[in-house]
Amino acid sequence: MINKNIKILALASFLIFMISVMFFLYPNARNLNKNLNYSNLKIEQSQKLERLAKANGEANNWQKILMEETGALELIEALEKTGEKTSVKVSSCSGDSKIGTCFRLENSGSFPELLQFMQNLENINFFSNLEEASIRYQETEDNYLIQTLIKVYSQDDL
Amino acid sequence: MQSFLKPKVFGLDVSESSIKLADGEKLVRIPINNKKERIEALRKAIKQARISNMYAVASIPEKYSFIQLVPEGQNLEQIIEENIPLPIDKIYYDWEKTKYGWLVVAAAKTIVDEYLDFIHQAGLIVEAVEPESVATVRALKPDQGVIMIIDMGLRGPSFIICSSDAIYFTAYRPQSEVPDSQTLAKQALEYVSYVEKKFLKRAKKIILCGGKAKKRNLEQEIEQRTGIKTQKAKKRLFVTAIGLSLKKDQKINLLPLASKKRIAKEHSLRLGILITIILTTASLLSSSILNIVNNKFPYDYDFSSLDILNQKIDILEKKEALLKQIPGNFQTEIIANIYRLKSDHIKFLSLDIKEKEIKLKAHAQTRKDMLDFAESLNYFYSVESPLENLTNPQDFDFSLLLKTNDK
Repeated sequence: MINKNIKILALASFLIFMISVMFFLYPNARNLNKNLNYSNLKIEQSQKLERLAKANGEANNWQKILMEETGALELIEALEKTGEKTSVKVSSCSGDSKIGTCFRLENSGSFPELLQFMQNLENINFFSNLEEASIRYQETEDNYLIQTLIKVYSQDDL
Repeated sequence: MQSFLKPKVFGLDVSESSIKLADGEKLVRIPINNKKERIEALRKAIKQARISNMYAVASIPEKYSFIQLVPEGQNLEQIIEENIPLPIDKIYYDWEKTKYGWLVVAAAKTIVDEYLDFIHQAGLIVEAVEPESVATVRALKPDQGVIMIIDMGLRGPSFIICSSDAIYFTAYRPQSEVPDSQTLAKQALEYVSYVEKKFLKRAKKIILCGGKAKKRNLEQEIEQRTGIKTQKAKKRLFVTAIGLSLKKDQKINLLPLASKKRIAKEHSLRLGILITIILTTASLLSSSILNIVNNKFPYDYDFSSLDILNQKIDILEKKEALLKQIPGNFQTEIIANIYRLKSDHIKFLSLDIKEKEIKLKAHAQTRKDMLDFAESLNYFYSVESPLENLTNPQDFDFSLLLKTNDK
């Protein structure tokens, strides 16, 4: 015969233990785990951002967007805008390398106007690279004609 | 904590004439005339002593038990079979290792079961059962060599020869009347001689206890007749019950195996309860600490924002990879600089710009204008000027190949 009170006490203490684990320890431990995961992810992301910014922050293209983020139409509009004073012509072209989308831009004007046009192209808010430029003096018009090749990059180019 | 793991017990001395109960300072004796009165007498004793715990250590009367000190190396079961007129499967037995050999104790199963049955009926839990003599020796704590204890009960005296670490001999002499000092002394000397012969141990002292040891000058009479120093115990009454209540170990225990398992199981349960309580406390304490730690964190965290940030990082990593792949922008600033350096006497005709190389064609008014212009471009990594550029002194076209540093 085992003391009945001991049996009841054993059962009660086990139940209280289970309740303390289920309703107090487990939820708090789960929250802590969630908090730690969140904090760790945040720290990890901050470190990644810091590293990326440190390594590439000075590059011209670093702050610019990749093409898919906004769409092709916006890009073409942005290219046209670079030479709107001098009526730029935009056409697509096939580049040498497999990556990047190639565009040919044709424009004319005085040399300072073309310099401004090139500056605008360089500062376009798309991840891009001016590949080539060819400037010719047009005697009949007494101005310059420029033909440039620009490559714009997207996430698919990786 | 110790008392919870090992519950406090009280001593229960059940004889044919009375039930005695000892729980610390509380001592109760209820006389009985027959077995039928035992349950009621026990309940009455528990009530009188105000016993709160239900764990008892009970004794088996000396006449129903067997005690023998056996030298080491002998077959215990064989000794029990030789000395007890009952088959071994009809008895409960136990043993304890002492300095002088094995102390073997046994009792008939029917007797022990009968005692347990009526004690259980009174609602008690028996933690141990042992012969009266074992409890008596424990209560009187012999510490001066070998002694003889004469427990003078109502139904006859019991003789125990023992030391602090062994019981050498026990005997019970049933007698309806109290024996006189001469008879007692004669019997005592017989037993002292027997033990001296068998174990080479002679009792140096006789201690008298029990209800019938109250006779005046009994100790002097026995001392005179035996020549052994004799005295009455300081606590003459309830000796066995007190000895039972002092039992702290499970060395000698005539309980059935099932009951011993039950005790072990209950002890395990108690240990389990204690561990559970400790774990519960630790769990609640940990919960509190975790709660405090959790409160230090912001509650407005949003894992979806982390996902968005992750996507951004992914894009930046792709950008980084792209930057390593593309050849690199030529800088408009370089062209603008060349344009600033030329004089009005120089007119650009064409410029072909590709990566680190600029092919320039221009018209100069004089050779000096061309040379000055070419000289002003010497900050380039290289400036290649063909010989043809020098063949005309004025109004001529010339070409230059400018290369920027690879770095």
